[in-house]
Amino acid sequence: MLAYHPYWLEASSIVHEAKHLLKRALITPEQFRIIGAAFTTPLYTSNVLERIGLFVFTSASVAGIFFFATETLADPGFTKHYIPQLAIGMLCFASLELLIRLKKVFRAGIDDALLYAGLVLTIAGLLRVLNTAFPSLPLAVHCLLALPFPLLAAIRYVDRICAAASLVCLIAILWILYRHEYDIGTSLLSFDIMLLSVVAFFTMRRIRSNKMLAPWYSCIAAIEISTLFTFSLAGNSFVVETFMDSCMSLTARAAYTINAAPFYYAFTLLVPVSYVVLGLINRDRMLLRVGLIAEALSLLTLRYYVHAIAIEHALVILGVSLILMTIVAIQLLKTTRNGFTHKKVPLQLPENVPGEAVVLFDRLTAQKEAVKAFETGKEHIGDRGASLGW
Amino acid sequence: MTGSGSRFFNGADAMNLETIDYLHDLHFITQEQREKLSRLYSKDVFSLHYELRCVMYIGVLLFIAGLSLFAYNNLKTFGHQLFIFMLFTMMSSCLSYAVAKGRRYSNTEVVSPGIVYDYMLFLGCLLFSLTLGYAQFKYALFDGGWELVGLVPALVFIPLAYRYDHRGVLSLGIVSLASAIGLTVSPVSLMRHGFIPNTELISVGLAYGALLVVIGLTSDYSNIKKHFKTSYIHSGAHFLFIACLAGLVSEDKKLVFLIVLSVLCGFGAFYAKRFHSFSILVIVSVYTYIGVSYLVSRVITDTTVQPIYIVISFLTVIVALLTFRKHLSTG
Repeated sequence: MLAYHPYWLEASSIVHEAKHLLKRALITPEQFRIIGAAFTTPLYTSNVLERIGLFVFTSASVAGIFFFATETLADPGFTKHYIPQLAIGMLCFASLELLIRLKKVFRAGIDDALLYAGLVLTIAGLLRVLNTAFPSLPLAVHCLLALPFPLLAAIRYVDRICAAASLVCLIAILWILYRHEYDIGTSLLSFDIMLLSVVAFFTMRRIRSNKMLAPWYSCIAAIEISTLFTFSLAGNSFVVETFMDSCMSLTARAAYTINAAPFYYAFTLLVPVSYVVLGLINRDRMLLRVGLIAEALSLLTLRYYVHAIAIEHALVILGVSLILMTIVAIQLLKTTRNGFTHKKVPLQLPENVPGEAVVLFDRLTAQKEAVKAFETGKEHIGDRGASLGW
Repeated sequence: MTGSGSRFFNGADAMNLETIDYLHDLHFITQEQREKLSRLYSKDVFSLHYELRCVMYIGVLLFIAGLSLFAYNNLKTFGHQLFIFMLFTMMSSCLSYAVAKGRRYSNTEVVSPGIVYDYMLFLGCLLFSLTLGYAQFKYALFDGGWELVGLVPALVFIPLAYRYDHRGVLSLGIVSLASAIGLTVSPVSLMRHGFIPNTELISVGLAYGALLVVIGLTSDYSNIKKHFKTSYIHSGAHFLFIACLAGLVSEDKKLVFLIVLSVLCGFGAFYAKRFHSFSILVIVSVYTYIGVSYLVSRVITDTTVQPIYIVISFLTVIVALLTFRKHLSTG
């Protein structure tokens, strides 16, 4: 199912982490060199700038091919527009598979662009075909049919955006069911999204420690982050009111304003704060950072409703408050308090690190043999790779 | 197993204890390192460094944006002298703090004394620009010479950046100097009238870009603030390429600018290979592609052939980038 051997992903991850440790001076350059030499991987991975560049160039190439194909292949009335869409979508997937097999590209920009272009074109093409064949097909069914694509892509290509897109797809199905298919209490939608987010979050938290799922750790983390955002946005008063305005009658809207609005205002303000507090209590950086971003969104929502002071005054007051808060926090954390510190590297490298680390090559050789077997077609599970459930 | 993307939200916690144990089992790290790393990743010690830095930076930006907006909205209603006095007081407090806390000058990189120091120096410089701009608007300090409002901060910021080793302040200095010599872009006028460059501006842009590149290379060879090289080279590359593209688009002597573009491309590729700089490689590729495609689009006007050119050219760039990258990695 996985397009890459788990050992490659693991080796790449370990070298990546070792690079991070080296940057923080927690290991010596010699140790990093040895780790790099031991965990060699054929994966071609780009740095951020290069990845963006390759992504843009590849996307533009696909767009050019698509434009050319629609100009030349489609019929004059564009009634069979789905043919080039499907053909190029499939071509993208074929190219991606070929590139992975030959060049072992992984998060290099080219594979990302081919994957997203392939997904968008294939899903759009298939839905067009369905729409032409069954014009009365409900919109929710469209979403339901689209859902497996990002999910399968996330599983096969270990793609985080596809993993998050699967969750969004699920929420879109819920929204469509409420908005278009059944005229049921729309105010329940936000609670359903909250419930879905909570269930998804705790499921992901439960499965993240499963060794079998280790190659998909980043996908699991992406879903966790998405659920935290969807939970806070589902109860955000601006989001809820925008949805209400789009689909509720005036009477129902008035009832909402009287009965439910205070709850949503409180939710908008309290949830981001609780993320930050829980993040600090549990030492959970993900919760803490999502909480800080959600807090910024919550302040923007607050500004949307409350105009007690001019924008320039609000900016100055907020800016000064943030600066003062940071200064106070730094002063408080000058000496480590309850395990919290403001320092970048809390632990220093021990002074007497041996210049030469002893390398146990036995296990690594076994793994490399397993990878070689994989490359030659005889799939065999390596020592540590076995734990990954290939 | 972790991914780089989730690092933003997971931070240092992304590395799990199992990996640390694994590295120790393989004798890649010592027992002492294992214990310390285990302590670090088991969250016994939880660093809030990046979170505090981020909050501080947003605070500084919001504060300066609010003050600028306040100055703009209340030009005729607020006591000017009082406002300038307030700005001056805040500016001198920030800069005094930086001077008091700053470490001794060194030609090599000096470790920053802390987050507050970094941002107080940065805020002080931003307040200096604001004070000067406001004073010029109200009292015509430089007798209508707006270019001096850019030049004076540049003359203050660049020495400050060297003395207190601050790349943010250096970037402010580079931008201020560019505005002083006339290299400015107003988004509103750009949207209204489009891009209207002139020959002098293009020459100035090329000269300024070349100067920045030379300073960057000199700082590298002379070992004076070697780490500033990236700021100089990147800014210089952008100025050079933008000026060259402007010339290519607007001037009649297209061949001259094509030659300049080729020289820049060659130099950029050489630099990327020499210093293993992927970012310069991407900058060179993007700008060169834009320039060449502009010329090709003037030759190929057939709309059915243009998509073929787009596909072939982009594929060529991708292959070239990958091949060059391979050379960079092995070179």
